[in-house]
Amino acid sequence: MLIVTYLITTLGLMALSLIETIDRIFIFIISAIVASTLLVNLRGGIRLPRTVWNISAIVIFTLFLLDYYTFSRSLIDASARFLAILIVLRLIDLRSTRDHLILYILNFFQILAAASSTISPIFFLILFLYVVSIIWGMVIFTLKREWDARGLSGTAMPKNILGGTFFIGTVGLTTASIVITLSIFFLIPRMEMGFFDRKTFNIIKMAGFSEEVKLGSIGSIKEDRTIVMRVELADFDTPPPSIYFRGITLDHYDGYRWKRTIKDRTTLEKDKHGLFSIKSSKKTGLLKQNILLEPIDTDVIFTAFRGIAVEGRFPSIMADTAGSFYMRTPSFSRFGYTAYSILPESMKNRSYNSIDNATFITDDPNIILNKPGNYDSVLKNYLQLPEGSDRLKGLLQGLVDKDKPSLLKAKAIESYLKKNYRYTLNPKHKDGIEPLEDFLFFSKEGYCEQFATAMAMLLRAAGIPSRVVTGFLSGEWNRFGNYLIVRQIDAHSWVETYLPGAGWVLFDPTPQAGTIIELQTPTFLLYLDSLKWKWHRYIVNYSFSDQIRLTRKIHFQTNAMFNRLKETFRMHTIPEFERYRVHYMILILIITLLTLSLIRTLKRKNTRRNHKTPDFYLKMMDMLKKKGFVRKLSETPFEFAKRCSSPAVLDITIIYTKIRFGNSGLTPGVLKEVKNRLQIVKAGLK
Amino acid sequence: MNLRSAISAPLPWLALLTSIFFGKKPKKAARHTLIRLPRTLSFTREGIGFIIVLFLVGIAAINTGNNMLYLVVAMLLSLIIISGIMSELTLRNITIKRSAIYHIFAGKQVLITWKILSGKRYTTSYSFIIEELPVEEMTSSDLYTLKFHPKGAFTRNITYIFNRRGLYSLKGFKISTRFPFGLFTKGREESFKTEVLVFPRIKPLKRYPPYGIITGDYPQRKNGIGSQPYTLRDYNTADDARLIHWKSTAKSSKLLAKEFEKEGNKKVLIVLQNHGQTALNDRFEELVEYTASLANYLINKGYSVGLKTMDMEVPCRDGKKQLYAILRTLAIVKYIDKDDVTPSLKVIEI
Repeated sequence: MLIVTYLITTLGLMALSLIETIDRIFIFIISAIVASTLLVNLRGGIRLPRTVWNISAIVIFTLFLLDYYTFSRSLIDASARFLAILIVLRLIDLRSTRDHLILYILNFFQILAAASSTISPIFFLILFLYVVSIIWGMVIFTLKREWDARGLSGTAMPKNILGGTFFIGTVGLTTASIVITLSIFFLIPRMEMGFFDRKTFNIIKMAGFSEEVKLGSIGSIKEDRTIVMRVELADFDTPPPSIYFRGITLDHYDGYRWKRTIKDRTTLEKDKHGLFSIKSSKKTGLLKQNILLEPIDTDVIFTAFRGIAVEGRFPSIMADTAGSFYMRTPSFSRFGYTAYSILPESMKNRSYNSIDNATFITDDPNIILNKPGNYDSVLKNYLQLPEGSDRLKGLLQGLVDKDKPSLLKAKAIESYLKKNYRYTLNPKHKDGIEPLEDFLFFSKEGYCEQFATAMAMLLRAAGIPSRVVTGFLSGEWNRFGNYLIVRQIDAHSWVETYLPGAGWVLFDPTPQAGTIIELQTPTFLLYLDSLKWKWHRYIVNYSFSDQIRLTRKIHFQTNAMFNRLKETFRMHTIPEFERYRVHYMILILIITLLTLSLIRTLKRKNTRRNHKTPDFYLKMMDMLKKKGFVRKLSETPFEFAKRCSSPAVLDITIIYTKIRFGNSGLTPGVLKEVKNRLQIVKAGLK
Repeated sequence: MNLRSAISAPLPWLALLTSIFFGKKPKKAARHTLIRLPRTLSFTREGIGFIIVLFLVGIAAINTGNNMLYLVVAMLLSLIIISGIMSELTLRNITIKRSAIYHIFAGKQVLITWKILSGKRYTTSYSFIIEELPVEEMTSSDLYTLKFHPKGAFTRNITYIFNRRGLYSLKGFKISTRFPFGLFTKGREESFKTEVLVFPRIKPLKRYPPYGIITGDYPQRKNGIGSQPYTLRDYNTADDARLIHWKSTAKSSKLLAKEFEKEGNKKVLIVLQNHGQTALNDRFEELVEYTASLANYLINKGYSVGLKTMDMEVPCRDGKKQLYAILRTLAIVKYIDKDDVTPSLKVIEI
């Protein structure tokens, strides 16, 4: 029992360590004390006087109040620390079976505290081990207590009760419990009430995704491999072509920084299908993405290409006329959502998904947020140029033909930048010159931000509305979970250009060196990440809509199975069968009845055999029968034994009669003797 | 397949519906049987705590939408399910048999043998209690078993005390367990109906004989084997010649044979007046106990003892069998209400 109690306590401490706000030093100290109490308990333990207990309880409770009201101001943190100290105190003075139970309960609350403040997959492992231990512990506790209360007074509980079979039974129980736990977990109806309840303090700080971005800020994050999000693309089980995860669009450039000056965010209402959608004529051929976003310090909701609908546990979300989605506040916890995007032509042959019944009407940017009006006035914002852009215009003159259509102009600029400029994360910088001028005319090297800015400015200089978009480009494909791992290193900037008749079109002037990032993540880490992904996808972010999906899937699969069965049956409805259908039915009925009666007879025979005659006697009889010694119906067991003229047979017969008729039990000693005698009989027959 | 329970289950409901249909009010006891569940379930103190915690964590899970808390709730619920399955596996297929019971006296401890059999093939039963289903005026000890192997069997002597005389109907046993987690006490009833006749108490008589009875053989006032002449009759050829009473033969000129008076135990008839006022019921019970004690005393002394009550009679005989015949009668003798009469006891020497 002591082992189980310490195992549970260790799990409680592990759960405690999952609470980010609990100091590691505190956990270390508590762990050390717990380890030392084990030594104390192995040597017999200490008996603390009741007064010491009472005083300690008052002191600890005062500390708890102090912790709660002064230091942590968090009930979970203060309670977790309070519980940890209580556990240590209880471990010092382990007197009765009940003390063990109290420890189980205290540790359960530790697990509960961890449950309410973590989303780590390790929690599931801890919970699993806790279930194993608690089942084991509770069973021992119940048996011991019942034995103390009702068993033979003054005697210890027999140790052979808790043998190997008992352990196997417990493991079986635990497995059953885990299976039932998961089944219940997926079946409990979810009330979509909570939202971002688990705050984390490890928010990823990211530049480049606010309404004001300093040119060059993305460069600082381009070397960071921290995961930003994981994206599962519906129907994609192979790496997809380049996917641009759109974040925020920027319209105003002052020479040093990009800003979003158009303040047109509008709150989106959730429609009857649970979608936050912007108006679009597209209803089918959409790319569905399940995105798990890490806690980052931006309120942007990323979507692949042009997102038109978002689904998730958001109380409300906003969108602007550029088609970007925003949360009310940045997320302080990892959370998942589903996004639907218009699939570019280049990808359409890969995947089709539809969200029928959704209220997408048109893709026209004029009414993208149901704001009718003159879009030309909006487009003017995308023609802004910083002061002193004359040199830029000079460059443009030699680059594009004025009379050519906008699309060709844009392609020419894109091609020019890709071919004549070098991609590097550490561009040389000349002091006293504007970053863009420096990039275009002096250093001629830079990264995505410089390329995008240069193209946007050149396009604007050519009178074509354009804007810079920040987001992420593709990511690493995890073949274990078939999803993309998007890291900070994948942060990217590109350009969107407004082409009359086509709308906003994506251009990426960054050379290939900046868009293809080859990461060689070890297979083991990829596998671990896939586990993490599955944990978040199917456990942490499991929602009511998932339940509906699951129910539908089961419904469809069951229907399909029944249909298959029907088909199979129909295949056999050959004319021959039709003619003799009644005969076949009767035959099947007779066979079924015969089988049932046979099973019943065998069962009854078995039962009789089991209940009356000990197995060892039957075994001996079988052995003798093989050698021709068969007991006659008129013979008593002793007459038969006498006829066999073997002392071993006689001994077994005596034991048999004692058990069969004398109500005597088969003790281990007797069983040993029986086995010996059977060996002798066997040897004698040879 | 045993269909008895499946068939009998709706019968009380049918009875109730029929009685309602005919405008009769169903009996209270009948109503009780309607909602008799196959298993009883009650919460232990730990179980109540467990349910409260489950409830609170459930509310927290719903309130926060935190799937980790949902996971904990699911785990707690799974423990309840596992507990139900395990306790069911422990309880089922255990049969208890009570040995035949003879000569039980009210107020005295009696040992009755239980034979417990496991009809299970693979599963072991852990930590269960078997107790007799409650019967009024009867107490019995229970039996705790820590581990019971599949196909196992064992016997135990269980102490019973029946507080008053009469016929008891023992209904069966209750098997209950807190296994595996001690959160619930689950029980089931195992029917084993037996009728037990409990004799009245027998107390040692301190001042006896109150009637001046002397032990020994007494003339029975009828012909038979004895030493004293009883009468004369005509001699027949089958008679022994030694029986001829020569003097009388000489006087009457025909052969006359002697007959002797039968000699045997003295006969006592105990007459118990079992009519009387209700208020005197206790007095009657005392009289019954005294009658039993007296019959026991007299039979032990070799008397032929008979018993007569207002509705039953045991003819005079001697021996232990006669004692038990009297005790059986006394065990079931009923007190009948009758005003202006006092229960009484008379001993008549015959």
